[in-house]
Amino acid sequence: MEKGIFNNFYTYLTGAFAGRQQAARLTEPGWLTEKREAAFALFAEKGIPSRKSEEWRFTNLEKFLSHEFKFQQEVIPERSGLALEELEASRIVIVNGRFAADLSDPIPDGMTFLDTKAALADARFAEKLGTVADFPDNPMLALNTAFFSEFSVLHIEAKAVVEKPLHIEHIYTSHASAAFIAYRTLVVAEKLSEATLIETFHSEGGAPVFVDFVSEQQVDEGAVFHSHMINNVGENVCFVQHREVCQFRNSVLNNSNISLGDAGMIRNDLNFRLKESGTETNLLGAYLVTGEQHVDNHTLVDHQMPHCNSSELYKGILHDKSRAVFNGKVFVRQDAQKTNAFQQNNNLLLSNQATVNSKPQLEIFADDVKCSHGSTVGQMNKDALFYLKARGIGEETAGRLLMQAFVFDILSRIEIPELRDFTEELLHKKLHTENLVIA
Amino acid sequence: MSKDQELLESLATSEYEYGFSTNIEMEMAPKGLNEDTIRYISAKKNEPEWLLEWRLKALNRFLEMEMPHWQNFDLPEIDFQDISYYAAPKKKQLNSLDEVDPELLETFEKLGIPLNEQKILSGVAVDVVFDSVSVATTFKEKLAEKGVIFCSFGEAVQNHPDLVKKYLGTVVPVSDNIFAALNSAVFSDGSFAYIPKGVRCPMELSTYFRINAMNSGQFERTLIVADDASYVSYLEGCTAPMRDENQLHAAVVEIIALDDAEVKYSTVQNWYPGDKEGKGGVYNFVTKRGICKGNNSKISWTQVETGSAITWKYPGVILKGDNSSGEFYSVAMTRNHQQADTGTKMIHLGKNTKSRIISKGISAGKSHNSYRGLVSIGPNADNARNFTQCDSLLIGDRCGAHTFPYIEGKNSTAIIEHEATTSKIAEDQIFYLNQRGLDTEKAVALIVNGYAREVLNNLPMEFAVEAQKLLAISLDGSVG
Repeated sequence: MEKGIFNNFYTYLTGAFAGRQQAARLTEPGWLTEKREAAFALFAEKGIPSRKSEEWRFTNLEKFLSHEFKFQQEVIPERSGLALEELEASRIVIVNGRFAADLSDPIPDGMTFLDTKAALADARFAEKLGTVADFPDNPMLALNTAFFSEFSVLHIEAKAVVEKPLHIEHIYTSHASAAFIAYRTLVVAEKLSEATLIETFHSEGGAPVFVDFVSEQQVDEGAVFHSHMINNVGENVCFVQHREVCQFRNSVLNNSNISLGDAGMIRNDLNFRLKESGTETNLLGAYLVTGEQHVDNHTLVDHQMPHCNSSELYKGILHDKSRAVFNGKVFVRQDAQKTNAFQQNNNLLLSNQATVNSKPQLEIFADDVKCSHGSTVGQMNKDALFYLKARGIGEETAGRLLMQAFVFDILSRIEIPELRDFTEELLHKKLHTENLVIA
Repeated sequence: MSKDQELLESLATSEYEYGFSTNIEMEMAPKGLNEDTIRYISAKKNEPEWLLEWRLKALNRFLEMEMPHWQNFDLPEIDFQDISYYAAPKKKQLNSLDEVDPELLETFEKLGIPLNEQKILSGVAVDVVFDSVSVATTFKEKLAEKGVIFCSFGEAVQNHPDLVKKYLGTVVPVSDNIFAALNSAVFSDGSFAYIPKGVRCPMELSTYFRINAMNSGQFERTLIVADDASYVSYLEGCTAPMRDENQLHAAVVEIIALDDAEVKYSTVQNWYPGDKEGKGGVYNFVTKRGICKGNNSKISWTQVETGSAITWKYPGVILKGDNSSGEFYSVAMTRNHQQADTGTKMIHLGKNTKSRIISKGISAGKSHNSYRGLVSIGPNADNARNFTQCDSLLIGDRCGAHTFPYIEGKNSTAIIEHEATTSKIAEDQIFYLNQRGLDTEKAVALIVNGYAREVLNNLPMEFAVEAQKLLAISLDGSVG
């Protein structure tokens, strides 16, 4: 039996559940309260996952969840427009999980965005809640289902080709006390549609925050969906995301996952289920951690049908006492013949106190496949450093240049210039932090 | 039926060639596991008090432990009370090979390892472990001349208690895992080798294990100590007779390499894998670990795994001494319903330590083959270097190949590289060989042999021959 964490936060949550259910019964449909009930039962039994669980082996939530988190009440941020102001995009602001209409732009044609009330009222979307990400044994997912306060939906209509990117700004505020924020979103990209979604994550205030965010996405036949995640929350934030994506016939999904900010702890569970053949999935990831930061990326590409291609490239740099975890799973099911799956994780480990855990994992049940993975942990190339120094570039500058070049491999593949510039700026800023020991 | 399918069919049906059992009178302990069993074993072997206490401590740890469930195969329920923990052929005290039961000799003859011939031809000292007790030891005198101690574990306990006491359980502690604890409690015999300072062992040491008695799990314990600047190559090979009932094999191998010492450990394992329905077969749950205790020491594991219903082992090296190095070469072939979850652990603690891992998995039929490995670089392991390559070859569309590498880096001067590929044999390669007049079967055998070459090359001569034969049998008639 897995042993979970049953700390004060767990006690607070289990104590609060009944009261929340009672309140929820007045506003929420019956099926949802039932769903919450079932999810809560699982969470109550298993607790918060501890390091005894294989999935959480390298990430100790106990350390991050030691604060007295309470459900977040605050709603209004001091300012929005925290990022990407120069980008020509429709902006949606989500504050502590809640859609802030007055801070948001109108939605472009071909898309709809629904807040909690509207989303739960619309059967097309409400019935999908919890069905894309439905794993009866995942306590973190259950925690979200039992306690999420907000649910919003992004709907892309069939055959709509939306050129202008949609930018969702997630803002977490915590000025007064330690806050717990649980919410979820659903994205439905219908047949033959094409759209770009940029998600940036920010925080305000210095009190500890625990974010539990679940995102369910469905990419229908022939749809093309570009999704970018830029995590720029503060060091007071413990950010846990579970993203479940289902892809259908001939759909294309591009996902980039950039963590170049100051987040105290980030855990991403990105699962891609390739449910029909002919799909393409491209995953990019970059992380730079300093101080005592902790970034944990778990990805799963689940090839269920033949003729699907996937590729994945994650690169990261570690300084100081930081820790980075990469666990990339590739499943190739028995029917998934003619699969091509490629995965790579490269790390620059630049401090003796930092730890990197890399676990690329292949599970293959079909024979006519080409699958490979690679993982490296190393340092900056001495020859390259020497070359730069020989040309009169100081050691520190040369080190920064090489680090920039290392991550550039990922950033250069972001096709939106403003977004690319923004990520490069983040990297630049981080590399010029004081006290950063280079080389 | 297409050629491929025919091949697969014949692969699936080719029977275990070494399936026979020898009728030698056995002395058995009553079934069951408790303190009395352990006292019985200890008394039978006339062991000193400290060893009995050590066994009892291990038993207590065993009873506290739970079965693990992280492994990537279905672990059948094992009733530890339904196993007889001690079985020994009744005949003892043999002075020469002539006294060995002719039937036993014949058994080895069938295996293609005639003792007599081997003695003459290869100069290999063979410590035959037939079930649990050593019945013949050869070349002892020649080894003794050099000061090399090579004997059964029981003898070592009697004659060299200090050495045994000093090193036993230092690499694999009793509480390491449940099967190591079980072994520590009930181990019946095994081999012990000590190479004194500066000695290069004049011959390859080799032990042949066979599981023979019905219902008796085999719990071997091997301890190899290589003192300063010594060298030894140790071979272990095994085949088991055909049985319908599952047999548990939970051995422990410990290797200690002191300053400048080098140990090369090679295994060919071809225990009964069960029939094509997956019935029967040996469970091979072995804990093997070496420690490069001294500076500049080296331990190398080479394994060819073709047998057993379930193979579950991770021969590892703890690289404690500065400049020490560890190597792991493995070919694991599974077919029918065989399951293998194997790999290695390389734990870098000292400076300038190096490790190299080459793992080749071949899965056919309905089998599952997993590589699970750990490469851990500690904060003090400056300039540590690891290279890992694990490839999987799939033959047939009902088998699985899995890779679970764990990579942990804590030092900013270390370099770790890992790469893995999974694929089937390319059609164009087979076509190329067909064109040159090789039929598909031969072509596949050739490709598989080439695929495994990097590992087979690391086996000592005689073993390489047997290993190739084993692969050929597995592919026989056969494969693909």
